[in-house]
Amino acid sequence: MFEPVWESIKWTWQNRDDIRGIVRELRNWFRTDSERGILLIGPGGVGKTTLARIMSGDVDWLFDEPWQYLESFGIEHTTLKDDPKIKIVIPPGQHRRRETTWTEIEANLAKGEYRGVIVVTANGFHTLPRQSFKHHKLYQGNKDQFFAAYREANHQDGMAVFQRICTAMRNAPKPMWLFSVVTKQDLWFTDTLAVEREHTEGRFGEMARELANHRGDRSFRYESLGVSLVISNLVTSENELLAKTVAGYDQQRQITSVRRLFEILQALVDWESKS
Amino acid sequence: MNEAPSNAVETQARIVADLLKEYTEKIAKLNEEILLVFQPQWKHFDEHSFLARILDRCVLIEVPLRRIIDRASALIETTEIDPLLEDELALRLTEIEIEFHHLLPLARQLEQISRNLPNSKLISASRMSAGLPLTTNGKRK
Repeated sequence: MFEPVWESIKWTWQNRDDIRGIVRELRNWFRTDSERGILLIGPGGVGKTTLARIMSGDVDWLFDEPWQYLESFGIEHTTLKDDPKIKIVIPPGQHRRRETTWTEIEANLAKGEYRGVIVVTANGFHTLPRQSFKHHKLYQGNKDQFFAAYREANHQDGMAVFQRICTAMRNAPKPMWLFSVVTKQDLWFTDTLAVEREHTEGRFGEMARELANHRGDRSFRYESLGVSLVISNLVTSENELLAKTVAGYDQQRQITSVRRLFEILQALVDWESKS
Repeated sequence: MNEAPSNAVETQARIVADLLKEYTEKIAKLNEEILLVFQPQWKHFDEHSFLARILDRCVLIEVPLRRIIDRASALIETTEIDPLLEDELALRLTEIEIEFHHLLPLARQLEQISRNLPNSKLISASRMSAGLPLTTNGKRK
């Protein structure tokens, strides 16, 4: 049985110092190599800006409400709230904006200008841009069929992004890590095993392995994780429900997933110091 | 009777294209006004209320305008509209993004300058008295 909401809130409150401590450690890590930024990249509507704002300390993910989907239309440079030298670079995810912004980003990645890349996808559960799903070109009169096709198209797009990044990282000169973050776990929690498998043995895992074989263990590290930054049903801007949060996915599970996110980032810190 | 989806989308695209055109002009004008304020010789007979008004225009327009921009982007990315209308929308979107892209840093700079002016309290008071939200911290609301 899942705990009632109040129990989760109590748990969060009791552990708030530990959780904030992890965030603080992460922010100290950013400072260790201020010359090279972190690239946070992915399709539109997967939560890149939310993740960047949490990582930068712009919002307190425990108590603020960071979620409101607005498209990013240029390359965002989020800096740490108290240290503007440290950059998290977030190019926009929409297809039409990729043409103008991603080529330069990929060139910089190939030159080794980033210490690591976080590729963000959402297992197909991308927030629909400001539009009714009924106006989407994949809609043929049936909501369920639309959503299945929409998810699949998004999933393929996420894989294409991952492939692009792997290609750009292939011959980058300095040690570099790649972290695949699959957001919106609260919407696909029942598929957890399949998502994990895809990122280890499946298509994502294969691409990462191929890259690892090419670059070698000393100059490359790969990690993947499913996470929920915000618990929220997937609804359109017109308030149409596309997918519900999986029953029983509560705040405690969410916190655990974000905690794991920070632990993996911490593991990447350790790896960086040894490589 | 509900409009058929394709007609509804085209109607929406035309409304959005017109709005983008209107606001590109407005924002271009706003950018020019802000740049004038940055001139060392700039003076205005009612400085504090003028600056308060410019700041309010910058700040309060941001979120609703972003929504329109998002809508235009969504129309291009996810719907099937007449190719000519799509090209028009893409062009208008690019035009407004250029102006908007410059408005945001200019607005932040202006806010910074206003804060250091001797009559900064008057500027804040003027903005507060309008009863409008002061969301001038650069965050999306």
